[in-house]
Amino acid sequence: MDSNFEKAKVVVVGDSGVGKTSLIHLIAHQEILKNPSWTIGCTVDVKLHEYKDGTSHHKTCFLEFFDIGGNIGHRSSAKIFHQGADGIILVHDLTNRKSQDNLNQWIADIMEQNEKLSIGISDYQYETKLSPGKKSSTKKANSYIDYHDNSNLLPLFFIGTKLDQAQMVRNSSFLKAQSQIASFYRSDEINLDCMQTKYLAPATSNSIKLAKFFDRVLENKFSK
Amino acid sequence: MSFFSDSCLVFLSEFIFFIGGWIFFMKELFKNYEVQYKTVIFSFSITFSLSCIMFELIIFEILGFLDPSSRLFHWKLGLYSILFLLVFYLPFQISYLIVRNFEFIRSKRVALIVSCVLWLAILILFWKIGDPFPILSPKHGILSIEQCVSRVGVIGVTVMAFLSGFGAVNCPYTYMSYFVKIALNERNSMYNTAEQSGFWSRFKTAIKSSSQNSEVKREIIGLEEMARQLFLELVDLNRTLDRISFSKTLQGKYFNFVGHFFSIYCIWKIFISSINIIFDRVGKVDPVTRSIEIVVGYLGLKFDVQFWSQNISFLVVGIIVVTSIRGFLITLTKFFYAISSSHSSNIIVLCLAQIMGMYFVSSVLLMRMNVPAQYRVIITQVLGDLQFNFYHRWFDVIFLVSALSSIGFLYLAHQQKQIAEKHNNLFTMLDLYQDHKKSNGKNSKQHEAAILYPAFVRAHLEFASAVWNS
Repeated sequence: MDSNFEKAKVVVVGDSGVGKTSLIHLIAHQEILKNPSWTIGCTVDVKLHEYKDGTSHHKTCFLEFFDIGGNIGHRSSAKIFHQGADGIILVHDLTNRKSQDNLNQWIADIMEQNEKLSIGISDYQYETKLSPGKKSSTKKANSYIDYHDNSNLLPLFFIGTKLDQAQMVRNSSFLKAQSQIASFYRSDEINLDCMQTKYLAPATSNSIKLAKFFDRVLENKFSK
Repeated sequence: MSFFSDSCLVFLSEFIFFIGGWIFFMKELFKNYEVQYKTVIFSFSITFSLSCIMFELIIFEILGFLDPSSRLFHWKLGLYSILFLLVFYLPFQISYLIVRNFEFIRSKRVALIVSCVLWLAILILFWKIGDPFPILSPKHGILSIEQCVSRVGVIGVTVMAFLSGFGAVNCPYTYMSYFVKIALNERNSMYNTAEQSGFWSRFKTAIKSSSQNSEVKREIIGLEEMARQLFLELVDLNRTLDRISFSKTLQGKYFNFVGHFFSIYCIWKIFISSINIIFDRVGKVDPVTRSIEIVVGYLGLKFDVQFWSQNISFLVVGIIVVTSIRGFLITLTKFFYAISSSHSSNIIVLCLAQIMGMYFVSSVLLMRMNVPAQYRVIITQVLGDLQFNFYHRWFDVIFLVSALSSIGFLYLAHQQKQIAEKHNNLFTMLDLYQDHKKSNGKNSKQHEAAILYPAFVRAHLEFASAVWNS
């Protein structure tokens, strides 16, 4: 299927109920999703992104967001959507610390499907499922790391949701500091509330970080 | 043994169960959630430890361990505490958390008042439950402990019988590879027939008709719905694949073997319950004494009845206790994962703690039937003079109803799956998708839908062939 625009696939993962569907709706359509319902399988949203806006290499590209339902029972079947990913957005809930810890398992699942790629420098150990009927075993993330070859890098981006609810419960210093997992994977992150458009308004630092991430995704895609 | 040392022992074991309940909560139930209210874990662990203590006291009763008077004291203490928890404390906590979840109630004082009102309503409901049942003899006063125990017993017995009935039908269905093979054969025959039903001709006309925006939008919505159905089928296929490969391992073969015996036991149980109800039979002698009588009477073996009766009842009661606790906790975990979300996790876990308490209290009640007469005395003494026969009859009724409705439900679900699969013929869909691709031009929304299908169709085909080949 030929098209005038280049495209890249961004996979959006996270635990069930963290707000991935509302988030993607906000990013792609700049409006708030009124009645989000449970995502079964995968929903796709599309955004036109101005790659390297203002430079000579300027291109308009498609970004396909694959919003994958985080239901625990569907997790092994959802692996079919992870293939061919060009970038990963990891969403966690700021009111629930466990959703952040579970992101390591999501990263492991995705890397299992994209074995030729690496995700940057990390020392974190995670578990991966080897075969049905067998208990999971640990596998070092180092096996996916290639320190020298940057051509097959898969960019990661972390987004923390439900900022307004978290601000009522936690102290602000915790929320302003970089989260543990983002520093582990040396990736960018933003914290926001999907129910207010002000967090991703143009020219805010959040939208600039997001645009830089999209540029990196497309850059990696074109350099392959 | 003095009263003091006995009490130390009992409290130590209570503490151990408390820690066990805490660990279970943190590692299994709340694996994906952060604990916001420490009181929730506390209530859950306390309920769990008090229930386990009651079982432990029965076992001590049979073994003759500890002083009888201290045993009686701890029985009463444990029973009163668990009743206090189940009737007063847990409902209050549940109503408070429900009220806190409402967004329009901001101040704590208002929340407290509203939750008190809700709590009183729950208490009144609880009281009213006891009215239609003939569970008390008239000589008991209004505020006696028997009132509470009887009502808790009714609710607990209902839950127990419902779960047993469903389990008695579901276990054989799950573990028998026989059923899996039938499902496999049906699936194979499904993919071999190429049928076109009315649904597909409508689909074709919808694609060819127009390129206007609203029509396309409707088409997208229809396609997305189909994508969801396909995905759910994929999940199902994956599970079947897992089940098949599991049944090939050693553990799977063992479960298969045990499953045969277990299904025979379940069928016998259903049969016996119906006999009990039809003939209005009330068992007087427990299975242990009856089997010993048979052994002594018919086989003429002479052995120390007292000694063997004690040991066998200990074994039987021990097995019942361990399997019911384990089975209940596993069911609890599965149920919790299925229905919880980040908002409601606290409330659901407290409701489950309440059900657990009631379930275990009524297990003690019903266990009276399974132990010889000399051990029944303590249960009768502690729980008061309830109409135990009523509870057994009620259990049989609910068990039968639950088993029959589960059979009906599983059969209906099976039929539905067969009908649905006839419509979702993979090969027809693949052809239609390729026609669609060739005939349409560029449009970003259609682009969206077209992305989904290769992944689904390809994966569906892969798994179907895996199922064929295994």
